[in-house]
Amino acid sequence: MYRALSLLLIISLLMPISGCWDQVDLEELALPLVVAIDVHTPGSADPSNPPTQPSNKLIDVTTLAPNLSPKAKSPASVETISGINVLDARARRGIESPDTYTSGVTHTIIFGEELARKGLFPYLSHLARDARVSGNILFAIASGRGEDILKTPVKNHSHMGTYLANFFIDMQRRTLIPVVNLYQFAVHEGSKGKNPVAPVLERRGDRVIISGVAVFNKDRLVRILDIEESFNLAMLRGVKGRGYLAFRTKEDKEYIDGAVFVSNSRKVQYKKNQQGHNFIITIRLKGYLGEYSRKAPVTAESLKEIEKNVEKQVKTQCERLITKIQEDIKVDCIDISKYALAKDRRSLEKNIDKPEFIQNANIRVEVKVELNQTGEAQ
Amino acid sequence: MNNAESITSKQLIFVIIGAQIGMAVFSLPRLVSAEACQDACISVALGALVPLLQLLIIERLGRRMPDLNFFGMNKLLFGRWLGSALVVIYVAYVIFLQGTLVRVFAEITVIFLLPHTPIPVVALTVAMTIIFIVSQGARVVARLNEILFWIILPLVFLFMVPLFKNSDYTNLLPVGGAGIKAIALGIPPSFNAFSGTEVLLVFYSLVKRKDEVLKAGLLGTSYTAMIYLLVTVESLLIWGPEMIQTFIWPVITVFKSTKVWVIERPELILLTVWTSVGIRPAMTNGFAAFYALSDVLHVNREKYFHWVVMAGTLAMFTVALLPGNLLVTFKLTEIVGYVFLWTSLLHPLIMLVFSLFRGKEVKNV
Repeated sequence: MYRALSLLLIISLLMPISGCWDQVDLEELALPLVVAIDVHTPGSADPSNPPTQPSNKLIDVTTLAPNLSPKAKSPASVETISGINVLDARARRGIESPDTYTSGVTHTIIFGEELARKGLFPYLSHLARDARVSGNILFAIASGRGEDILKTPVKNHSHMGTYLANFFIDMQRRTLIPVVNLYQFAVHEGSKGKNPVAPVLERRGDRVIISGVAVFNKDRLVRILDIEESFNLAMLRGVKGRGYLAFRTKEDKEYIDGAVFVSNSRKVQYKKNQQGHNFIITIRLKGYLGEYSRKAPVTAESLKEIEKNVEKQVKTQCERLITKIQEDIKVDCIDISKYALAKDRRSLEKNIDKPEFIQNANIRVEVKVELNQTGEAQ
Repeated sequence: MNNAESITSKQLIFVIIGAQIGMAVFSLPRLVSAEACQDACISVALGALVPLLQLLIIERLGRRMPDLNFFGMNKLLFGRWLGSALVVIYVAYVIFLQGTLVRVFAEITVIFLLPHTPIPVVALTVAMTIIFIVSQGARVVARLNEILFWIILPLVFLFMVPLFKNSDYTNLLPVGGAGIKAIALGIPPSFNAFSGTEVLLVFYSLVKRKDEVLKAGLLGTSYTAMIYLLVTVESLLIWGPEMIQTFIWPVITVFKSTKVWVIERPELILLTVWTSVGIRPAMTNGFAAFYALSDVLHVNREKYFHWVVMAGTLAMFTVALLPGNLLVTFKLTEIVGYVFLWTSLLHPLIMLVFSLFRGKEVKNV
């Protein structure tokens, strides 16, 4: 009796191994690689968009999914559907498309600029709740509409999905632009003393480029920095990356141009005294000399001189950005308030996110450049 | 006690670990930091003192009556009826606590792995597994705990990977800044996560070498404390004291947000492994409860133990399906958590005190 019962148990345990309820044929799946979310614009969605009250169309969700069928004419389909929110749009997709959409392999999410300025929190909610969504999804803001980014024709890649994936992968090994994933954005959006940033994608003709970095006050976009400012922001914020920095020096009434390839790191010291909150940001740049227009060979002394020039240039640019942050943006986008919280969380956490904190802080920048090589040439 | 009912002191280490570490490990950092903020790790470390105290009490108690099992001790100290009632309270506590564990296990499986599979189906699979294992006796439960321990040991190293990628040390600072009151309030959810130590009340009589029980218990509880500290520090370093509150299981979400070398979704590996080990507490505590219950009911264990196991697991399965949703499940766990203090600390302490008063009778046994 006992043996028969045990056998019955084992057999019944084997039955659900195939995951009966969750089994789906791969052919029936649509796997959106990139999703763009924008404020709804009449006429933006596909003509076949299911009927909805115009007042219920608040956002447009554009998805790019590769066509898995070998008979498909195009490598990917890009569709825009409107709805009250993201899942409402997904519900409407259910009556328009025969495929089952699953967000498990989505690698990039793009928010339109207008929506980002309104605040992204309502649209991040479903990303945080859906267990299938990876926290590693790359996060970007579109200059204009995200939909336009996805609908840009690409020449040397099979579709925009692979283009963007290649674009962002290893970006921090070739530029100093901060690459942000959903998790990093969420942590900075939801924590006291922190604010997120995200790269900005822009359509320029038939190309999609990164045109800057978006600065957020929690979930609301407040400013877009240009590329030069973005490099400095990455260094001040301590976003580790590697990239080229061009410099110009004047020697004997002659301008000499060059570039260094450096990786960055930063250290922040915080002290509170009678003058207020004092921060010293030390940026360390380590790398090699990549280009130098002066004809004479680079000596140890001239390399030191180049280091000093780069230090001076980066320091000046960073100080300019800090002034802009304190006087204009008024948001701690360089991630230094957390060091003040680390000293006295309880008394500071109420006021740490107020504009006055960063406005009145005394921020000093030190830059240390260390060039170890001059490349193959002297 | 036959051979299938005896275990070694080495196996006891794995039994204690298996009884303690279950699904609570995933939500512990959130629950503790809700009170203790950035000082949650201090609360977890202090919370570990409670199971250590439990161990000492139970070991002292067992040493005084080494030949009696849990029911036998209660019967001797409190009489047949009161003794039986106290054991039944323990059994009911285990059924309720482990029922909620089965529910949380099923919820996590459905949310992360099998979104279309009904919760009762997952819970039923778990219940059948428990019946199958527990019916085999103490030795199988102990051996399985040992095997599963070695299976999940590599996960401890996987646990550490995110630390090197996304951590922000300022999230832990200032140390002690949350205040003594906040740290103290963080201790109850912390020691609740150590529930399971009380299996020693039953397993003590099954261990061959009683002189090694304390050492085995200390090793097991220290390992659990280390794991709890690791996940709490890690979750705080990565999420910070505010963000951690937004996730039900911040430890799983840590893995959702990390790429481990070529593994894009490490949380799926974690959970796939965890589906085999997550039910360890239900299995281990379940065995202890059903073993004690079979004593109360005077069941011939060799012939009819599996019927007791089936009835008990059915009750556990029913409890798992009682809550309407996950939030109610957590509330139920919290309520059952208060009983933890009675079954794990006060009951053994009262037993120890009574055994001191009834010195002569106890010695004669």
